[in-house]
Amino acid sequence: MSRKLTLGILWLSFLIPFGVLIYLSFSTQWFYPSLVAHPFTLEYWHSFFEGRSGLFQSTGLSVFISLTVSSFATAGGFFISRGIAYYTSSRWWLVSAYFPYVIAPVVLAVMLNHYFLQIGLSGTIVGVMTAQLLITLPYAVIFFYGFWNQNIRNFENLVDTMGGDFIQKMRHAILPSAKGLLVICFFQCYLISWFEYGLTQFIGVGKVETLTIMVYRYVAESNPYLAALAGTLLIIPPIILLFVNRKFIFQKGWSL
Amino acid sequence: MTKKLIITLFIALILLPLGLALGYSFLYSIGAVGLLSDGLTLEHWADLFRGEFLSSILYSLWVALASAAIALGLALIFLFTLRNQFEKPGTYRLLFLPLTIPPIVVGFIIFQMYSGSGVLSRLFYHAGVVSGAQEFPVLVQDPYGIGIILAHVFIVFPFFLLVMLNVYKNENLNEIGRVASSLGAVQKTIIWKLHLPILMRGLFPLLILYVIFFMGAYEIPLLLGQSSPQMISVLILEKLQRFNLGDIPVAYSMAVWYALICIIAISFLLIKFRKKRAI
Amino acid sequence: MIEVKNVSKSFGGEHVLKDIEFEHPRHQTLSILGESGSGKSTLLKIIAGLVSGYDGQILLDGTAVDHLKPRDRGAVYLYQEPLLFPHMTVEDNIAFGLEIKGKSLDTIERETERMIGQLKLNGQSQKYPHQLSGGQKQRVAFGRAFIIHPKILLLDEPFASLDPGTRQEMQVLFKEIAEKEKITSLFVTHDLKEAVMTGDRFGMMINGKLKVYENRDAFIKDSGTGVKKEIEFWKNLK
Repeated sequence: MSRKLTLGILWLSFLIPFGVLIYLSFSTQWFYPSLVAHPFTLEYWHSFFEGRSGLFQSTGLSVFISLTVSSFATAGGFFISRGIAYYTSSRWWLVSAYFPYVIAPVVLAVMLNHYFLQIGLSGTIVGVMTAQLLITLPYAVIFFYGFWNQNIRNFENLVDTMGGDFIQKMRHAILPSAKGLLVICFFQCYLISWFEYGLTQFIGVGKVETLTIMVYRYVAESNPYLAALAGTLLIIPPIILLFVNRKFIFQKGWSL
Repeated sequence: MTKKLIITLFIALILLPLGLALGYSFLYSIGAVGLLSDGLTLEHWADLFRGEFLSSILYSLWVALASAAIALGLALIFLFTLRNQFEKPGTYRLLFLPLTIPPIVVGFIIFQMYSGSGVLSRLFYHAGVVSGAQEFPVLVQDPYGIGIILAHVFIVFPFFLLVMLNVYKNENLNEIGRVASSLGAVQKTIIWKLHLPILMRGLFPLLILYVIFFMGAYEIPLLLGQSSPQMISVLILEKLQRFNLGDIPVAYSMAVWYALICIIAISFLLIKFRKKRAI
Repeated sequence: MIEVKNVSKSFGGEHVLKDIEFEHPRHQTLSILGESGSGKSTLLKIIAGLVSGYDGQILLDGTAVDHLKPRDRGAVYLYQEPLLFPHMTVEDNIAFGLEIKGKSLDTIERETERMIGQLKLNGQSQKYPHQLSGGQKQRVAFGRAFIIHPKILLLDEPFASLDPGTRQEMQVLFKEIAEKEKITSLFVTHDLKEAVMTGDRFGMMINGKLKVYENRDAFIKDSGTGVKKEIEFWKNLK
């Protein structure tokens, strides 16, 4: 009985936060100590879909930034990790790829801000994407490093000795084995970018209004209802990914 | 794809930005550059051991260690008491749920749940435990970082449990337990002498990594932390963006030292534990 | 024809190959016997262009290939694992080399069908690698290499992962098709019987040095190859 109770508490402690978040997005007033919000309304959702709240644009911008960042990070990480695995022998190359990834992104942004200001990237979408790439790219390099094992090398050598060029090696020897990992890496980089707040806020100086920026802005404006709506929008893609494939969410990429 | 091109790309895209970032911050921290620079000095480094900077470091360390310890403890308790339950696909999948929420949203939700006017306080009011928001204990933006720790535990405890369930399965701990039992070991001995050491060997690097991550946490302390002392990242940003220009070099000193600690710690972990996988 | 002239190779100060020198005529198989670590795989990789930084010279059909990339040498390297392309059918795997070379569709279809027949893979052509047995996979790998008639085929213990029965069957099949297709090959193995079964000429590799024998008799006669000992063993077995 006590086991069932403990499990029940665990279920509730995980599900209630989701419930509260979604419930708040359907409210406009919720005075203490009432347990039920009045009125229960679709007003904010309507304004979202009609593009009145600015959240619609933020969602589009977030999707655009995350898709672009994860595409570049996945492609770049894939080829760079191949080079590091094949052409270097010191382990320090891989270890150094962890450095930008383990430092808090916001601290990295602080330390880099001077250069972003100098080249005029501060406060721009390109600047935010560049900054996000600085953490997602090393992540992708680490992610793919283990892929380049002896078996893949042998495959490449085989195509090589049969007269195949780089494109043919990619098409026949590498991509068929890598496509599953490429998809997982793409979505994990997507989520790193999608979840990012501190670095985006600092490099974007509040002008690049992604969904995470909007959550904080609404909290600061004491509008928990719109913050909840933005928060709900933020959890939709990861929830979908969770149901499609758990591997998109569970980051196992520590090649220690 | 030639060797030179790839190595150049790696250096240009990964190492160079980090080097430039550390270089500029280092120069700023010793007074070599900056608006109010009066020449080279180690004074700003010395400031790290004084006043709010020192308290911020200690506070961050407390929050990080407490978060990691509680998450680890909870995960262990659930592993040893309810492990069979997580073999059910639904319950197993449940553990992934907190991983789908961005930290800024976790911070927001924890505030809505545990603040004076939050959901828990309302429930306590209707249960007759408190008679108003002000009577509800301060759980967010509190001096001990309870709200921050709660948020960290909410995200990381299920992750630790998932990792433990994996280690338990991969290391065949069930079988090991059975063998030990057939040799006469009691349950307590099996847990303390066999299961825990094997689990911790796999989890230790991950634990240190999360202590580092928690120390540098930003979004959650921004929403759930009090105004003083603050967590490192929050304080660095505040010092850079507001108040006194004289604080900027100290903020950079803090950033440099925090980054160096991260780099040294991850290097140590990767070299020391190179043959063991955390997961 | 392959000519290997004074080829030496060191890894980190350790001499893996020492002054290897031999010639091998076209349409024959040179079976090289040697223990693990004797340098036989390194020799094949050097010929294929997969290992660089060696001393000496290699000529294929009279042309020095030392400066050529693997893809331009005309030396196909086969590994112990069949390494079939998992996304292609048997037919497509075998046709791969011809497609790379830009052969006409007619030629590709005709040659592939002929090769499938030779390999006794009729009825399997539309299957994918995961649907095949170990022996069938290795046959496809052979077909994929045979069909392009490389200047030299380099086989690095291709049967090592097969069970004894299939292994023997494959040795016979290899010999049969190699003769029919007039393949020039170097076949390295650590299995004495396999070396004797597959070769027209023979080599013995010990500590980075290679000794070549022109025929089976010479190979058997030399007590250093261990063949004599083996024959004695089986004779004396009661």
